[in-house]
Amino acid sequence: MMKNILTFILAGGKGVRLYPLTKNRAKPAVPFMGVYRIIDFVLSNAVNTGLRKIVLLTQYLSLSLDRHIRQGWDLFKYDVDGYLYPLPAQQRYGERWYEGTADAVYQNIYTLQMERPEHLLILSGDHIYKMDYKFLIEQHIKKDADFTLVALLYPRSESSRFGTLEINRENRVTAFIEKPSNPPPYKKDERFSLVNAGIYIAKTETIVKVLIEDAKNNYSSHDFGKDVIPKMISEGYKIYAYVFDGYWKDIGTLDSYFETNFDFLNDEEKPINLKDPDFPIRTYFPPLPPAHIKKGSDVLNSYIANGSEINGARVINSIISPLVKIEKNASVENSIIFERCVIGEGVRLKNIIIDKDNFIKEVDICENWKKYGLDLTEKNRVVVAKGWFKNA
Amino acid sequence: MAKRILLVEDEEDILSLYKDVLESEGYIVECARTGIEGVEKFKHSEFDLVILDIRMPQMDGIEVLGRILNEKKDTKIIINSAYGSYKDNFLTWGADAYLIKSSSTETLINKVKELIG
Repeated sequence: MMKNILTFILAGGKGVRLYPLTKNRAKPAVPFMGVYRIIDFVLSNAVNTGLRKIVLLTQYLSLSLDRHIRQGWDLFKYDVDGYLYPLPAQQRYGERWYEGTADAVYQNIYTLQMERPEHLLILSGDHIYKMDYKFLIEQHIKKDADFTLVALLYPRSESSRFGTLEINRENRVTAFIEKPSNPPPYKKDERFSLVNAGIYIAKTETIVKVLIEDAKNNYSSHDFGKDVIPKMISEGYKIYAYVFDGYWKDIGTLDSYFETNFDFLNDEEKPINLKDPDFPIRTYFPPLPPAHIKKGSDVLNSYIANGSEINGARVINSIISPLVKIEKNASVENSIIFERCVIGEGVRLKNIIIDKDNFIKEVDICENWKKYGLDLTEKNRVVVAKGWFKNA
Repeated sequence: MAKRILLVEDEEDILSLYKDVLESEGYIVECARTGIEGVEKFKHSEFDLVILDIRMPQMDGIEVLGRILNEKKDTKIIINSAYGSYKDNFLTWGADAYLIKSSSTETLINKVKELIG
């Protein structure tokens, strides 16, 4: 079954709302929980599902993403197992970047042509969730659908920022509205709405025709949610929803980035089992010794990655990435510290995200963030760009 | 007003034959002898129809088609190839018609009339 499926992972998003974390890297390459990158989740899902023809469609600032894929995801031997590789925008049909999600796929029709899969699975590279796509694929094939999208059960009050859908008893999609002010309730439980997760599987032949039509349309923004799905419904294509009620987070803003990281520190709500041997979440692990928590340290409810040193400091509810050094009497609370940062003696950090390669000796950067030219999120969290505080 | 047709074809004999026939039907015909020339002319002028050969040196008709589609004009497109096998190429589905080159020009004229009148 998996042999006839080609997977496209859309990994070209600029992630403007995640700036400055996306200043030097594409959104899917943003580090997550200290040791992962956002893309690791969707890649793990695909590989654990048994998919073996996986192409990442990249464009902006893909260097760090490419390096991560080479280091951590060089799993397959082409002839024997299949492939997983990043494909930068080829600009084959003109000098332009991808205009929308549908355009990203359209511009890679050449790849589809070469491969001629029966079905095309389209995933987003910037969501955190765990899903075995096998069940989605099974339903899609069983229903002989032209297009199947994953519908999430989402609290109705928060559904307005998504595409929402209505389905009939057979799960066939009867209506699809992008960002409605009053999201329609899910019939089986009115507290929820069904929202579009941006996970699609389509019959290749159908989707190619639809995408070419869409490419020719001047009025289209070339987006699956805004243009392609509504049009397919109105033209009577067989579109079904696969309802998913597991953990799914879309890392849209710096605050949702922060909160999604912290979902994993929360004991009561374990969103994804990261230790499941049957469904491992893979990443690249550099060869490093275990974290060293030294004398006089106080560490509570935190993730401390390999190669880090806590030299008599206090670390509470925080995520510490590899090769971080936290010096004596420093205090780090509710914070995410990226790789190779040094937190100097007596520095006090709270509600802050610090990108890689920062050497912080200023004790008051959280209180006086403005003075240091730092960014603040909507919910008043401080963000420090990569290498902002240089080693003096 | 007379309709404008862009003819992209690298074989001189076919080019002049089609040009004569189409002009005698009252169309204005612009010729391009390579794919690159075809794309350039398409970008910088307005046409009602493009008749496109596939096997051409340098830039083949499939790539020309991709670039033409990318320009998002309402122009109709006929692929006119000696080979039926290209019909199976995904991108050719973006054309409005696919004709197999034959000795008779009647089929072509009929299709042109059907598409642009």
